[in-house]
Amino acid sequence: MKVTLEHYLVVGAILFSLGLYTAITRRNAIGILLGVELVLNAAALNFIAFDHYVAESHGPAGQVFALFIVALAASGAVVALAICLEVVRSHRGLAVDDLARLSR
Amino acid sequence: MARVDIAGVAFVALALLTLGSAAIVAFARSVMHSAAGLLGVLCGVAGFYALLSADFLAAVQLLVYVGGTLVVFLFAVMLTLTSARAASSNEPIATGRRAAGWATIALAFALVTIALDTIWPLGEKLVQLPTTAKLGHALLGPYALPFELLALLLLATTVGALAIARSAVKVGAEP
Amino acid sequence: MRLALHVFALVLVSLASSCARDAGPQLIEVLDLAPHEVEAGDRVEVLGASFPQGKHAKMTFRGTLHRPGEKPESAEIPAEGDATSATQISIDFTEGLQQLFCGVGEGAAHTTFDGELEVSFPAATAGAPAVSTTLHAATLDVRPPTPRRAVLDARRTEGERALAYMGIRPAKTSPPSGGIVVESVEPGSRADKAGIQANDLLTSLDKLRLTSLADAIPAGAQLLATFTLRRGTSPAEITREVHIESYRGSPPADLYGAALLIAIAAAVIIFFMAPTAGALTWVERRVAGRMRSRARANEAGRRRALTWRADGIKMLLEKDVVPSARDSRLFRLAPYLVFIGVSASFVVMPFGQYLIAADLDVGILYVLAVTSLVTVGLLSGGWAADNEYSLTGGIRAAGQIVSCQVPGAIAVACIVMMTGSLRLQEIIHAQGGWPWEWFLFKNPVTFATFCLLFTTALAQVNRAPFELPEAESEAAAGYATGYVGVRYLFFFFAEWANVFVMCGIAAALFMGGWQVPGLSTGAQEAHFGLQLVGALVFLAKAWMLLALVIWIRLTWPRVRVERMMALCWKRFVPMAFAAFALCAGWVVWSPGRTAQTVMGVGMFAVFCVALARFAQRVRYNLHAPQADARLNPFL
Repeated sequence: MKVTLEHYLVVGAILFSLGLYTAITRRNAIGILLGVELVLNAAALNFIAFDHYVAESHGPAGQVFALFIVALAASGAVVALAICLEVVRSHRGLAVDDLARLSR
Repeated sequence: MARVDIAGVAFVALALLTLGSAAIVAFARSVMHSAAGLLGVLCGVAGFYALLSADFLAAVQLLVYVGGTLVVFLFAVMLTLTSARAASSNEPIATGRRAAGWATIALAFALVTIALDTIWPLGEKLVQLPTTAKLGHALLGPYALPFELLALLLLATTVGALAIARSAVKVGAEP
Repeated sequence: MRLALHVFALVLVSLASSCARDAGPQLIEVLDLAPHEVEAGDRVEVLGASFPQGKHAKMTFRGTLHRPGEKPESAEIPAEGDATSATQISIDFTEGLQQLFCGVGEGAAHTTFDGELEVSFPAATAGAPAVSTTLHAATLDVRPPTPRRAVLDARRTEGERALAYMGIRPAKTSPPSGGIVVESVEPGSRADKAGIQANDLLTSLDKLRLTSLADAIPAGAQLLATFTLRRGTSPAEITREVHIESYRGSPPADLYGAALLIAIAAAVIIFFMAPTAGALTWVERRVAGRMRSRARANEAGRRRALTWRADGIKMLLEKDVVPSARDSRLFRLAPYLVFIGVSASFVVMPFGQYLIAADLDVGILYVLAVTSLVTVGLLSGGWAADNEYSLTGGIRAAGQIVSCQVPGAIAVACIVMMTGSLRLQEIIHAQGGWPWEWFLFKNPVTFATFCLLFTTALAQVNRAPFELPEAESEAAAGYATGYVGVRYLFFFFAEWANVFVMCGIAAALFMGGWQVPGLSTGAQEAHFGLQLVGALVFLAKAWMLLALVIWIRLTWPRVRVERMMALCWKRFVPMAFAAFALCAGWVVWSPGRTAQTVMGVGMFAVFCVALARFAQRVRYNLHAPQADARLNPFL
């Protein structure tokens, strides 16, 4: 079985859909963030797959993009989780339904 | 025994790991289980990077994503979860789940169709495995500006997260 | 003012004329090289015109070297020769030249060079620039001395396998002019799709001339193998490209071979890791007993050395109790995560020059990366058991590891910067056998970097003085509180192995790894016995550092976790960045060999003096009247 570009794209598509489903249907803020991480990983996987299979003359562009995705995902997650911690400390819980309004 | 392609076997194993763990993230009841599922996804994707001759990126994925982001997630989960609520802390929304499910399946179907039907301009390029030097040159060459901006962004993130978490610590009055 | 203008104009004119003089007339012409196939001891003639007879010429071969099974490598090789007549320069193809083309030792392979040859003669008048010209299409085919029979056979088999993979069956006999005759091509195979037919004469593969089956090995990572061949009686050369996407140079393409390799690697890891971890516990207990001047405990075995085996067996046989855990799946998973993280780093441990499981291109970064699995394992293990001791232990351990990874990684980056590569073998090659050639004594900054790396690595493996998360007198057993029997064994087995990995990596990065003092790497390459000596030297260095680790544990009190983390972030990180900047300055300054040796010897001398003073002090303390200590090297 020869592994081609399409295999990686399909895996990336399924990963993306699962991440999107997680982000849409979770009530816990951290659960939603986990879904967002899945989406970002699927995108990075796509970038690297294209970088490997498609002729590229501008250097390792796909890998540079994936590197940036890793760094940006990390920073996004850190800030979001700091906010989650702050929200929990104000005794508001993490269910996003209850957080829809800024004041109680 | 017929010549089985090691790359193919590795791909299937990694795909099972990644998609299985993603299913755990999507459907687990406890948010701790979801975070553990994310570990599986990240390791599977790191394996994919290694298969796709992005060795530096595979190592960076493990180092930064697993060793950094996932640990932050686990800390957040542990600090916001009490034992009583653990098992049901990640309930999905009450209504609209079915619609969301169908919409997601439709989206997945669309993406897969696009992936399979498009004629990609595949290149017969030399697969050159050591990518570290190339990445280094790219980051200090054509991509120097985004690199510097990213450094600025990371600084802003660090300061911002510290500012938010610090006020949380002061309010929570924990040593 | 007018004088200045005149002077200025004069300067300009002289500059211009000297420039014109530099692009001197092409007095000599180079036409060809003959013969095109050489071995050591042959004579190569450079043919041309208008050579100054009797003069000595300096030549440079600049181009690419093609070898079977390897990627083409660019090279610049100097050579010298005398102009025997106006139309010929003779180069003695010495063994040294041949080694530059083909490689040294058993890796030497039949090489085809193609590129340009620059010939330059010193000018007739003293002070004038050299007269030189370039031959642009120079090719040279160099054969190394016949390697051992086993190597020849192995290469031949590889070549046959490669041809079989492409669907080509070579004829039994090869023609005298060289090349490989295709006896038959499998229908539907890759060669068939590429247009290779029976009775074709394959003359070259990827620019390497084919003289035997051993040459027909494509470089493992390419997608296309380019053959040039001759068909029928016409002398024209046709090019055909064969797809070889999933052909790999050496690992087996079938499943059984891969499984066997994995089993061997696992066996090596288990049979090396387990005894090392066990021996470490024994050594630590003995040293602890001596340093604390207390009687030796009841221990099993001759010389009470087998306690660790007894402990291990006892733990294996203990009843497997899973407490009412908060999360039983994670509880079961955590020890395996830690074990995977630690065992995976043994893959790149450079035990010897060729005794390394995989010399990954991202070597040291890979080690840093897989230790993140340990962090996640500790954290989830701490959380999964349902008690607050393991939770605090886990959080403390994870916090400590993550905080200390940053200065540790920057310290490693200093060494990587000085070497220019992440590969562990290259880092070791950049050092030498003698202590003053190690990175440890290269300059005061690298010594400070070593201290920084050592300290942060101690924190990362949760060893004293940073072992609060799992120390005996602290919160029960830290993150391992809920664990019994085999799972507990996994945690602590992995911890000891982690300590060994840390010392091994520090030995490789800073103390020259497997380099033996006084033995050059070329000499070591030639004999397998010397490589084993190198492995023993590496283990000795790692154990020296391990002894240091144990000594530190028994001497210093523990540091509180939050103070440790504050220390890391507030002091170590700025120190690490300062060390990084200074190392960068060192690399930019790039002192010559003598300056480096002088500094290395100087640092080593200072270190020896300090060591001598320390030994004096120890002797004084031993002989002091009220001391109750004895020095016994046999533990």
